Amino acid sequence: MSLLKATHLTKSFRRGGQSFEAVSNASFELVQGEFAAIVGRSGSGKTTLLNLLAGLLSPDRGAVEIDSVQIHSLSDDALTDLRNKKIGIVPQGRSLLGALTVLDNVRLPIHLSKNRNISRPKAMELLEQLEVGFLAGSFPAALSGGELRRVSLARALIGAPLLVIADEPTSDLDSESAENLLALLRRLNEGGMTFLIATHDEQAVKSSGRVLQMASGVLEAVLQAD
Amino acid sequence: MSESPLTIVGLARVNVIGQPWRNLGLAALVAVFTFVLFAGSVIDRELTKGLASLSERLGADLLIVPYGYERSAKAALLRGEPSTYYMSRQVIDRVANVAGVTAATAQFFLSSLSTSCCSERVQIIGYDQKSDFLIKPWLAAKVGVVGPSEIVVGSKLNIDVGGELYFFGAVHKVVAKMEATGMGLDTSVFMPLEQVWQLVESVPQLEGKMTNPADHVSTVALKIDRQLNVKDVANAIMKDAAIEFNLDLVLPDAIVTETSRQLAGWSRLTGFLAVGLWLLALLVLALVFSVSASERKKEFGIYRLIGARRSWLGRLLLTEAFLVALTGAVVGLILGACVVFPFETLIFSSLGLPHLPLSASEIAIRALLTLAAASAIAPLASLRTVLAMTRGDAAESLRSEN
Amino acid sequence: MIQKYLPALICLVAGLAFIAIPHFIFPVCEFYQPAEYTDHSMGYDHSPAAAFNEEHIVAAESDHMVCYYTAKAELGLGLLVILGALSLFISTDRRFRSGVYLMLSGASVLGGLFPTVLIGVCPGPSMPCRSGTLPALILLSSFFLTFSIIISLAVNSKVNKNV
Repeated sequence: MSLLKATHLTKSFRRGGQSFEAVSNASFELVQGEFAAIVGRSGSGKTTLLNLLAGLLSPDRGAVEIDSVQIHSLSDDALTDLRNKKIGIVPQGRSLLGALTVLDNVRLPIHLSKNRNISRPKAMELLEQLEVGFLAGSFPAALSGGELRRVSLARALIGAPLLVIADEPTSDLDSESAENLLALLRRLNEGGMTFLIATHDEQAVKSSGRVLQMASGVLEAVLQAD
Repeated sequence: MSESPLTIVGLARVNVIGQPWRNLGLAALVAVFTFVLFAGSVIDRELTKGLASLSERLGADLLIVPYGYERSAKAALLRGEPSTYYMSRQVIDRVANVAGVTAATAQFFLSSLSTSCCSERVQIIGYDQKSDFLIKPWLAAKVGVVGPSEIVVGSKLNIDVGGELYFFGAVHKVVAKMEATGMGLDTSVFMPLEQVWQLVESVPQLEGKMTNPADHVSTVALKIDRQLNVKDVANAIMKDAAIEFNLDLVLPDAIVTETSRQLAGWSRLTGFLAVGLWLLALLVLALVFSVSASERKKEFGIYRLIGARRSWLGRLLLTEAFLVALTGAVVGLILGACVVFPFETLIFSSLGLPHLPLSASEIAIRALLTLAAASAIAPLASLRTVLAMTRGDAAESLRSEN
Repeated sequence: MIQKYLPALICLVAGLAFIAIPHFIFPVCEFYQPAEYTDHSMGYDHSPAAAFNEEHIVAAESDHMVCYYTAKAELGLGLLVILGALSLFISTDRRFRSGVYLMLSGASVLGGLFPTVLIGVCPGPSMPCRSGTLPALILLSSFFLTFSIIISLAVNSKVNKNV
């Protein structure tokens, strides 16, 4: 069953007075339980595509359907609620709130959707599962890159989303940490979680079931991993 | 383990504490405004009440004093500054017979000597119990004839009815206390004219200082027919008796007008100061919030990413601003109260204007209004920033670096 | 470091304030003040008024007013508070510091009792010691008492945590 469907997605930006297409006419589908990777060099449009798919950015043309809902035709509040409940996002770089502890960072999405009763035990369970439970009371500034990435993942998973979108999940990680994180993602995928990651890491590509190649904003090829 | 409440207020509190020095500075600015507004409005209101008291109950339409003592008479009336000046008692009958004068009563002023360590000089006022219309309206409780060695005291003297005051070598029993007038009467002691004259004659320290004190008075207060113009009657008195007895006239209305002018000046000053500080605080806070918001773009992007609605984010920012302003407002209010109320006597004696204290409810109303005006600064200052931050795509905010 | 030194600095300032208020900021009278009459005589024979212009000093000039003794007591108290504050700068022992803050809270109570109950100030409502010195000392005493109790509890709770 199709979980995500992107149709003729296009997005332009202005840079130095000139317009350029960061994503050009991208179309593809993702089914439930898939683990797909978008590969390409830096500046190829991977992040822009992910942002369009997650509803963080509005396309100039085209549409995105998640769980049979045209997300860009929703109101901003409805789209935000959908993102909170159905999509888990692990953005590139540092993305935790520095003033909150690790535990509170993970709990926060649940509080936004007002399911406060389940937030604390569920958050601890996720942190333990991701092997960072001992950091629950720490602040993000004290965490290493790998630990930050795991906590971000825990936050993305707290709402039991249908789809997890991760942008460069293994960037600024050493090879051992990267391997551990990818193994974790594979385990979660085996449990039924759908993943779409953007990466230029070869290890990450090997972990994926399907690979979409992107260059200069164009989705060039869709490859099946070995 | 963290137990922070992840409500809007809880998150706002954490964010505000996260930038302690910046928010402390903003709160201090709001505190200064609150201090000025609260203290200024309390002082202004006390002065206004004092002025109302002055104009309502001065009692006399005209005061006769010895020539050159007009200023002393005003000082005695407004501030209770002890004065001693005298004229012939014959003035009473002379001015009472001038056309238009409906009542006349005399007073004799004496100043106590500091006969014991730490006692302050007080104005002693001898008054005519039969003809008086200045003192009796102010008595807190009805009192009959004031007998020998009995006195009435002003509201500010630290002694109660039944207590005793010692001066001029004798003990004087307090039989009544005046209501607060806001004027010099509050720090004065009153006794029948005959008693004062006897004191002057009998007290050893004053022996031989005044021949026939009973032939002298300090001031004559007059009531004038309502149908007539007070100035016309005053002119008539000047023509008839001023030169012969070397008199000066004081128009209480003129005192009220002058005091009212001074009060208006003070009110204008505090008003401008308060408005100026409010605008300054608004401007500075708006600038700081704008800068702060630019720095926090990525943070706002993260909130949007994990599912925070624009309206929720707006409420979070407004709550942060409100917490900062409320903290400053409370501090300013406390500081204002700590200055105005304990130092009330010092403040008003340096202003030299009549005043009456406020009731608890009047103070509470002023405090609440001040709190509201001060608390409103930050949300107003942050409104533009809130509107700007909650627009745009979340992805653009996420691209920013803190 | 700021957590340790800032409260001690506040205590130092409070000690200086206990001394400065009755001596410099709202100074009390040093000696008994004789009555003064200003003569506004102009023309008319104001011989009775002029007669009252003599001073009638009953008490000796060396007599002090009660507020003078309050000021001296506050001087002693201020020095004690300063000593306590200096010990806070030097000592790192939390139990000792907690005890010093407790002692300072007691000192602040004394600072308010001297001008009110224990010694007092002049009774006249507009005399400088009553209108200025007294309220200033009471305010200082109240603030310092609140501050020292809070700090004492905070330091004490840290002591209990470490035990």
